[in-house]
Amino acid sequence: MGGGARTRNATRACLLLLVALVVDNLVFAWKADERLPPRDQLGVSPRDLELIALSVTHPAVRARLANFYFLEKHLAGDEILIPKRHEQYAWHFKHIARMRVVVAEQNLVIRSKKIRRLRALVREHGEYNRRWFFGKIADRRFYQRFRILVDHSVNRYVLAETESGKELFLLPRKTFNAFRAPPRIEAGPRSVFEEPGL
Amino acid sequence: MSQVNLFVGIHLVGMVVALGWGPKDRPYLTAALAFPIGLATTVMALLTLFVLRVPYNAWTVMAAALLPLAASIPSVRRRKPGREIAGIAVLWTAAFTVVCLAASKENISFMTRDSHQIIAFARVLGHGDGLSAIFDHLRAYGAFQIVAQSLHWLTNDDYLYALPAVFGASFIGVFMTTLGYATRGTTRLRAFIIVGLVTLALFSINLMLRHLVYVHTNLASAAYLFIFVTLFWAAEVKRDASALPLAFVALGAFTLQRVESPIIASIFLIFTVFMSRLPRRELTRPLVAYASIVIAWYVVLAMHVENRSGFLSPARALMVAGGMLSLLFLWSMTQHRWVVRITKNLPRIAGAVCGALLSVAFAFKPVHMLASTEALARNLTELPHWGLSWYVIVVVVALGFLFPSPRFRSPFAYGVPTAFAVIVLLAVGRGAYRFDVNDSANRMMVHFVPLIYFYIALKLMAGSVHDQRSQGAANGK
Repeated sequence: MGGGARTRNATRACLLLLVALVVDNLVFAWKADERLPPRDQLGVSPRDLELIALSVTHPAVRARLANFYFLEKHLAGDEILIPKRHEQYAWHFKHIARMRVVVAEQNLVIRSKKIRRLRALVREHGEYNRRWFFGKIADRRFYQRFRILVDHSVNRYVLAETESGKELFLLPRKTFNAFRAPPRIEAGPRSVFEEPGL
Repeated sequence: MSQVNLFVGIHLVGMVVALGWGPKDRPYLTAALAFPIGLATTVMALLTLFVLRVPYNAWTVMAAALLPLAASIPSVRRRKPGREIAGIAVLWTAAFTVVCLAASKENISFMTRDSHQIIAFARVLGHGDGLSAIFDHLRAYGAFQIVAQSLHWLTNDDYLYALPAVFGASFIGVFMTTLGYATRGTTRLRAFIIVGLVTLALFSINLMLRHLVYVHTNLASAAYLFIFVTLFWAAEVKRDASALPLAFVALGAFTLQRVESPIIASIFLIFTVFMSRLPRRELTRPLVAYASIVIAWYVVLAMHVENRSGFLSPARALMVAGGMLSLLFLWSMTQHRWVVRITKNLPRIAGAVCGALLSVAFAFKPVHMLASTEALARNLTELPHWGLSWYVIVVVVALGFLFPSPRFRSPFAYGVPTAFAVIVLLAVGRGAYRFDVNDSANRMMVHFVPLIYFYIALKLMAGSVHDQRSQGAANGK
């Protein structure tokens, strides 16, 4: 077989292979629904970033971004006081939720006895009740239930947690003051909650 | 403003830039390049303004878009594009507008964790917080998509969900027109079959289709790398360096896409610029401009990125800047005998260096490297999203040895395998690759697939021309 015939046959073989590849790809596309993850995970999405973030199965995305887009929508420009322990979220509160961040040296804790009443209060607020999760806490994979209580008549909020550390609440300061645990006496700077007029 | 207006504006800026600095005799390709090049110049100009801490507002964006446009106008006037080119530009812009309208009607974008991070950072920029707010996050993310997505604030939408689809459509146009020019030597029917079949084979791969709607860096990386290599290839084949500035703009955009992109860019730079026979003075200016931008950006990153775990540390950023500086130094020495000897044997040297480095990596981290390589191999051969693509590529490349070699094949024949080896090697400094469609190495394979398919088309074309000649000779007898 001469060089010309060999090249011609090789060209035909290549073209046939490409045709086979196209057919295989098209058959796959035709049957894609059977072989791929459900469509919602493929991201046929609404235009609202908060809803898109909520539809993602990755817990860190759902936790970090959906919460903060929600906060951006409802609380942008308001002030939030976060305990130093959760300072890792300061960037997200400041740059994504667009809130004014103030860091408290002391942990902001809600009294255990009042948790049920507080949960009921959050539940009553229907559309503002969010029960998502944060990602890592102090570099450990430790998910906390995160509930947000929005009151449009105030603009100062607190990121507080339960004494067990399993739940986080984002509350108006005045609500937090009604539910907070008595401040422990610790060495170090005074808590802002000990200041009058909080 | 809607996304359509924004994209058409970027397209028009790109059209002027492409008419000024693009390929002179290929009007369809010039028109197809408009959107990718417009986006690249706008993003690079915006990034410069961000670094200079210029406040981010409508005027800033206007300046970023108009700067490259203004710089291109003298070149456009010098070239005096005729009526035919103007007509093609108008028609292409009309078609592009239709694509934008279709793509922005419904949100069909696909997002994963990385996409969300990119958009979150883009929104931070869009809110006017400046680069300083996200500098530390650039340890793991390239700046290009973040800056591009930050343009969302000019629109009424939360993010530019239509950007991947519009960019993807432009890339299909670039791929087809480039292939069209590459197959000019053969009959119209053969050219039509080769262009149609190769384009269909490439863009029917599920993973490619997925990237046409995926908010990420990979499709843009693939497109810009393809534009650089093919513009350079065309310049080399036709001995016409007029489009080289545009090629280097594309390489700059590729370099800013991902943290590991400068390494891949350097490989392709070596297999194009250092093996080129174009006049040295034509290459030096765009090369120096490109390298200066990359060096400046990585020095800025080294000054601001924190030294924590992540892909990019200050030391690594300085290494990238140093590497680029070394390439420039090597370029300045290309007249010396020992450098000439190196450039003559570049493929062998690259093969030997990659082989040695891979051996060392496998010797020191055998479990990690084996797991990574196995995961990558399984991704390419077992994932349904690739289909039979890699099997077909292997067989066609093997058959390709029967064809005559196309001219200036070094970026395809040597650049792609070397970059492939480097991606395997990159696993040393990071977590192992995993068997997953969203795995980083699997997605990075998307960067090279268009180049591989283009090379297959070149081979088929060379075979076809050879066939025509032998048939002609037989008829002559």
